[in-house]
Amino acid sequence: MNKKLEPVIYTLLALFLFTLPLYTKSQYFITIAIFIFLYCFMSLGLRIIMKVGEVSFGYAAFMCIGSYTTALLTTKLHLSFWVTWMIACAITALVAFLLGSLAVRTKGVHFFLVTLAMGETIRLIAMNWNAPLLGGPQGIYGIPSPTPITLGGLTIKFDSRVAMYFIALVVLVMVVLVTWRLDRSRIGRIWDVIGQDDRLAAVIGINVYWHKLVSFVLSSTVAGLGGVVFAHMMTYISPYDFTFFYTMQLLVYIVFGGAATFIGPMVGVTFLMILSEFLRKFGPYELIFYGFVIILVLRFIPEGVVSWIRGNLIRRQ
Amino acid sequence: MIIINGLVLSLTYFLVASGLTIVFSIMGIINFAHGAIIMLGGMVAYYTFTFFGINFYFSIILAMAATAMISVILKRVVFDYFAKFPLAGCIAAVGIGMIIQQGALIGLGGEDKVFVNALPVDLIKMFGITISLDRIIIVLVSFAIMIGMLIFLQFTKAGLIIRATTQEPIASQLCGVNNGYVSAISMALGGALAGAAGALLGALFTVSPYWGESLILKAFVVIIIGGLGSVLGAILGSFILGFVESIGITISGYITFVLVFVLIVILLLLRPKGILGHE
Repeated sequence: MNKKLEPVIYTLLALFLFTLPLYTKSQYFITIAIFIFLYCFMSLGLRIIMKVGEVSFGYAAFMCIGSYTTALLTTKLHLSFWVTWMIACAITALVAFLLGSLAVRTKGVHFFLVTLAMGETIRLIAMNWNAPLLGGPQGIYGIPSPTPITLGGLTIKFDSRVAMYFIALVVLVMVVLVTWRLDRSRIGRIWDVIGQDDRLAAVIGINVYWHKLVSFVLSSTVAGLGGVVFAHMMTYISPYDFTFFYTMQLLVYIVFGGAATFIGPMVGVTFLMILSEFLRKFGPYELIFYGFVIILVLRFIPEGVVSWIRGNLIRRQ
Repeated sequence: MIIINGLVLSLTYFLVASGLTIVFSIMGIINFAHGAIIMLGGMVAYYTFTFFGINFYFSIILAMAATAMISVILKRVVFDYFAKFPLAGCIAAVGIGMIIQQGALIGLGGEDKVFVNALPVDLIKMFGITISLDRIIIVLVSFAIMIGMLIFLQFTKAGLIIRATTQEPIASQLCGVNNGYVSAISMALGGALAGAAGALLGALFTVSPYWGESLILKAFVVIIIGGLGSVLGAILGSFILGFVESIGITISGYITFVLVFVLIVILLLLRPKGILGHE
């Protein structure tokens, strides 16, 4: 792609997304769009830890922590959404720091198994511990939508789907900007080095343990943020929303799009989610077809769709 | 009672985790389709037993043969192309699991398949406690499979070759081992173990299309404890987990999870690779 054209395309895309509710009144499209944004920034968050060469399968559990925190604070203590999302992110980051300091001692498949065990344990605690507070397997109902903001006489309400759409979009833009900046910073390059060879990184004086921990905490915090958006959009959460298979789904999107590139995960999310919406009316055949698409695409382009397009189609011009 | 429950749980976990660990040690892929293959084994045992009236022990063998064959086909058709991309391979395994699961849902129906009548359920008294006979039979059969596996891996030439390939794939290839053949055999072994797990556990509980998923999550915990890629580790891990759970359940159902988690954390601090794992 032409380097000068890129900012123009991205600006146009952002403009289009910010004005999308003007073109459609369909709640269905808006809801799908919210989900696509949610999965987009969640997959970008998961990609942060994948940059250092690890895959966190406890990712959905940190989403669980974020959404339970905001749900409890808004339903039991009646705090405002604008306060609780920050508290939720902080608590998620704290838990991620504590668990991560243990988990990043391991690497590769062991890291994956350890985070998986941690994630499932968090989910089981949410399911079993203190049922009157956490709601047990039923979860928490009636999470309020964000409270209105008054800006000098002008009140902005956030109780509609469209408002949620803008919140999700703003969060997405935030996460995109942060991760994009991170990719191009010194830290991003250090993480790339760790991802390619952590022993080499240690030899040239990089503190592998700390860098992995920081990326784990950052990645989990994005998951917590995703949990906040998810809780306030659904107004209802239960431990079954945050299973290991949720992380798996995100991973499918990321690997499909290509984890090595920045836009890969987002392309994967958008393409596969729209595809699965089209397939929805076929019932159980949907997942079979979906499975075949994933296997076939990965069979012929295991490095991901975006990397393949970059490598083959664009270079050839 | 605690001991018997612990034994049943341990052997259950062993059957599920050992297949997973063998496939991983050779293919380098965490086979997320393993749960679906176990479910398939249970289905084969169910249909051969209830519709064709075949002896249950023979239907276990049929289930093992069927799942071994499916595993080898999957390896040839799918996994062979992902040798250099382990992550993509795992995702492809997820895809396979999805296809098998939904295929079973469409073809065989979503209801629970019950064939508890496959084994005698008489209660017998032993050492002052009453145990149902089917549990004892399952414990014995699983034990036989476990011992058979160990003998195969430790004392036969094929087992030696498999272990060597696990440790040093390139070196063993230089010694004249056909790696493709070895990995096909170990895939078949993993598949057969999955089939046995499906048939035996299916007879103990029930089989339904979504059944396999819940099984493999526990198997992952077993693998963390025991160390990935080692069958002895899987045995050890499943016994530790099985007994910790059966002790935990007598105290409080949910304390168990915390117990298991604390166990894992302590283990990680001491030995990140698992008890018997290697790089």
